Amino acid sequence: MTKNGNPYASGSASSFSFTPNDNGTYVVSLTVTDDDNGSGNDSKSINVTNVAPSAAIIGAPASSPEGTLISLTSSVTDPGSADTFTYAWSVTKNGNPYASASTQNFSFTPNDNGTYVVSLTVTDDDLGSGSDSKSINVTNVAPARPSLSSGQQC
Amino acid sequence: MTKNGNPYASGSAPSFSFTPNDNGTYVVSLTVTDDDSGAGSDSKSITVTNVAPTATINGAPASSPEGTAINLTSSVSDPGSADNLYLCVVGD
Repeated sequence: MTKNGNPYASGSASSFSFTPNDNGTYVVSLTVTDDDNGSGNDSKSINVTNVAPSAAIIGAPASSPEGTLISLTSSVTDPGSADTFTYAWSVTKNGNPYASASTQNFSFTPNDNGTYVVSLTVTDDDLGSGSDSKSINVTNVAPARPSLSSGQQC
Repeated sequence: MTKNGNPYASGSAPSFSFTPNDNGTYVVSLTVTDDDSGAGSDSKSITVTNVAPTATINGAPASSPEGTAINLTSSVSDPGSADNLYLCVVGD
């Protein structure tokens, strides 16, 4: 059989199974030959469609103090094992754009307390996409109180 | 009668039918004997030709999502019941 015109799999049993690893046009051809060199054949074309990936943000805390690095990773699953992916991260802080990236994993440091929403969209090379988002409550950190030197007068 | 020189079928009725199970040379011989042991005979040779088998792929969906197994079966038939059949699933 062929995948987009290139050989993909073959067999010689009366049944035949294969799992397409990508979308495309798959053609299965069957030839039966008898011992007198008579032969018959059949072929079928199967249109294999893309399946969008699913994306998940891993490592987002529900709450984190301001000024502390938040490190996130992505988890992607796609039934098309031949698919490749691009990543789009974005962060809003109280509803306003704060940070973005196109790497597989992503880190950022909140510069103030507030509500940070991290969104990830993963797009496969056939333009199927999946998304996830997490909200992180970034809390205030009190400024460090200066230590008083002994003998200092107020 | 014989098939390629080997006994294949026989009968003792006024008419006779048979179905060749393979290509080859079939020779039909008839001997008629009267009740006084007088006999006459005839024979005919029949060249039986091969018929190609037919193949059909079953279970192929017109459309299917990537990553999902596609399971196919084949149906083959050949009027020559003595034929051995060889299957091949091929690409270009």
